Amino acid sequence: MASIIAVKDLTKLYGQQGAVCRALHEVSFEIEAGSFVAVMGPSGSGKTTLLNIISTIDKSTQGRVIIDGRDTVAFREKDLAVFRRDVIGFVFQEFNLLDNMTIRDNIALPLTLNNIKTDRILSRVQELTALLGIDNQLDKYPYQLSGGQKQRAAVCRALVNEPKILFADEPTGALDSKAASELLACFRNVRNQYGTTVVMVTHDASAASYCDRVIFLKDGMISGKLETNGNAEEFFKKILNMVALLGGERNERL
Amino acid sequence: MNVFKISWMLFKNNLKLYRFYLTVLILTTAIYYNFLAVNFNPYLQVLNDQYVFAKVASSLCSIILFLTVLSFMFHANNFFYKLRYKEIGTYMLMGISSSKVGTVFALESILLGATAILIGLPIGLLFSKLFFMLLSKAMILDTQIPFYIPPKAIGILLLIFAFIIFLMGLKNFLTVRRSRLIEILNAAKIEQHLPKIRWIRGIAGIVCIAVAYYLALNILDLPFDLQFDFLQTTIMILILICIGTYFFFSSFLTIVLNALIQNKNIIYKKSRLVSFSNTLFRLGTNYRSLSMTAILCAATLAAFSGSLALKYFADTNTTVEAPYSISYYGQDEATNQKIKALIQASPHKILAEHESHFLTGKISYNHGYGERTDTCLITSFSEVKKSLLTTKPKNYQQIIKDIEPWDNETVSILHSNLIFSGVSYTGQDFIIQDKPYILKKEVKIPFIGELGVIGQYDTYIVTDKQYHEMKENSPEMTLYGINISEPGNSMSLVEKISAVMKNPKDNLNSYAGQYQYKYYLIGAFYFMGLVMAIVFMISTFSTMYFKILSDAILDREQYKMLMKIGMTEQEMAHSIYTQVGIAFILPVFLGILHGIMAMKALESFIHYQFTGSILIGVGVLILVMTGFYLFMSKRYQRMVVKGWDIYETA
Repeated sequence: MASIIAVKDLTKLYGQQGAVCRALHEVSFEIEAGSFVAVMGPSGSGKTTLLNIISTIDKSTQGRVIIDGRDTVAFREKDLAVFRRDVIGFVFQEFNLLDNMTIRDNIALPLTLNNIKTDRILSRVQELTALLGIDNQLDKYPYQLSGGQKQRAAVCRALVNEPKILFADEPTGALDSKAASELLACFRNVRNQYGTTVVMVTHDASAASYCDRVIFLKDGMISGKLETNGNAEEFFKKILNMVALLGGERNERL
Repeated sequence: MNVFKISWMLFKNNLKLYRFYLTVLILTTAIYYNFLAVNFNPYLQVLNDQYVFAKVASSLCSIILFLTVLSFMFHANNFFYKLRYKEIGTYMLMGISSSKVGTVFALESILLGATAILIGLPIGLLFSKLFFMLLSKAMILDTQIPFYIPPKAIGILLLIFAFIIFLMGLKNFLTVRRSRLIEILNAAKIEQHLPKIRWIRGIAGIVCIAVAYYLALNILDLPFDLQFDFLQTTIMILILICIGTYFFFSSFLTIVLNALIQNKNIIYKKSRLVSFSNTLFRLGTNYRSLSMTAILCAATLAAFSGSLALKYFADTNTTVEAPYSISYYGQDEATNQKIKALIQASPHKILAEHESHFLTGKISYNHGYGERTDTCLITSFSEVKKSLLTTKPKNYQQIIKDIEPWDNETVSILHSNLIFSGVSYTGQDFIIQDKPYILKKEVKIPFIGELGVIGQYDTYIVTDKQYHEMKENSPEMTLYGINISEPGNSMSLVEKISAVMKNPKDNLNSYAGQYQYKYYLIGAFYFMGLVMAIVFMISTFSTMYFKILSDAILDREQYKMLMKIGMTEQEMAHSIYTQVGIAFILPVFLGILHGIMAMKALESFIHYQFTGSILIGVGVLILVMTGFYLFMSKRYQRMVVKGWDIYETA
């Protein structure tokens, strides 16, 4: 399969001269279209920085990110906003739904900015929420929903403009284990239904075990990769072993 | 470090943040001092008549200013508290007791107030020279008011501000002391809830406003035979407007916006969804400041247009009171000749001479409490027409068309020194010289002008035919009117003429005399009204400024998130302009409407059309508000989009 994301020699430095912190160091990898990939690593390993740069929220110091055949480093600010709106979807740990809109309006929001016909917006919202099982919550406000429902609404919003890639930063971080596994199942359904590529940052091994592939980061460098053979339980054990091997993660997992 | 030192340090560090707030406070202190100074100036007290007007006007101004200052400081205080939630939380985390933090914050606000007085009072003192110069010019006083600093005014100013500052300090202390650490740290995460839909209140608001407008438009001719006097009606209108405006923003607007948000065809366009949802949710807390803005706007417009109208009225009413440069009545032929000779000997040229004819008669009508019979003057339409062609007031051709009566119709010219009248008799039946007439119209136009005895009567215009019939039974009288060049400077000539006349007090009238007298009466109100308009404007600005920026703080996170999901900066700007626009347009529009209604009520009881003054007032207000709107939107945008640091540019 063709790769939809290609990262080449990505380096990110923070801070000024004398006190430079290297968050990423010459990271390179490719992600195939339609795959479900997790990025794992201990705190401070650079996984969120990596996600922010790939998803064009942040800029790299060096290196290139090619998404869907286009070099995002060359984009201007205005093109980036449109690119984010059309090609990419986001899910955050804190849901980031707007408190002052109903779930329906929250999900419709990205499409309203594109001036799409109201009927189409509404049918799209209906279709997605049915797939994610929250179609009976549409007229409620976020504060009336549980964490898991809110996160699924956030996923719907991220998917509403049919993005090619869905980025998720610790999407299960604020959820209990039942809601978390439901959400991860949703991600898989979405991938299967629409062929959307899903890239998720997590430090939860059981969340990562839902993916096809796991990329491990440590101190800003790739320290390992794992691929599933279809058996979730076996994959979970492999991930745990890898985490143990890399160290530093054990306490955080407990 | 002791508490006082910490407060002083914080105050110094936060000066940039307080810059705008401090400027407004200094300005209000300076203006406040001047209002008080008018009340306690001994040189003004010597000028009996005029002084009373200035004193009433300035007392009114100072009371209103006090109330607006109080509410403004309250808003600003809340804004700063919101900005510094986290700071308070940090101190408390460090283990400083909440009462100590409270004391620090209270002291800081006291320092702030003290600074405002220390700078504002000297500025006020400097300004008072200018203020009194303008005031005496507005009142056409001959003498200069000497520069004097009344210690009483300073004392009262200090007392009042000390009281307000103490109140704010106490409030800050209590708010901080009552706050719990967990609430402070989670302050940003407080969930907003949809404001409740209250149908009854919403409809009541609209009804209140509608009734108030109806009363204002019919203030002289109340429906349903309501027996209220003018003052009662005015107070009723004010109360209805306040309640109506309050309900309009708290409930009616919620209903409308909620309905709009339900209609996806309207709301799913561009960035409307964001701006409308924000506005709806903010209404739960914003309705007070929105209603306040609307009422302040109405007050600004009423004060400004009212001042212009009064000046316009004074200027035009002078012609009503003194239609000619010099006019006299009831002299024998020899005196007439002497007067002419005096004028010819003077440097003034005679521009026109005119004789107006009229009769005295009896008029009976029902004034609401039973039949009443008065003495009146009666004249014919052509007499008035000829007179108007000589005096040429504004729009005289239109006036001539409007006042022509048919048989058995009459038009009354209200006597000229009537400034306010609380009743109108238009449409009622009148008996003039034992014959029935219907009153077609009441007007204030130049005809007789002010004259001791006959000037107190209203003049009734009838058709020429009916006038000739009446003339057979009663003697016709004549008013001589002479227009000369430079009538404003003719006071010495007028004095000479009065010396040769019989009973000049009752029989002589002059433009020079009327102009001076009338003008200082209204001059004080004119000047104070303009100052008031500025005060209201400043209050409107500062209320909105802090309210809108408080919103911006809350919106920052939201817009950050919207950017992540691909909202462009342009779209965000669009959304902000819409959102701030709603916060502006609605209260300003409602305020303007209220203000126009107030002016309409003023029109009907001064019996004058103030269309020009209203239009100028509305125009100026819209212009200034548009400028302020653009400024606020830019500031909001900078705060939200660029992650603007409030400590940099506040």
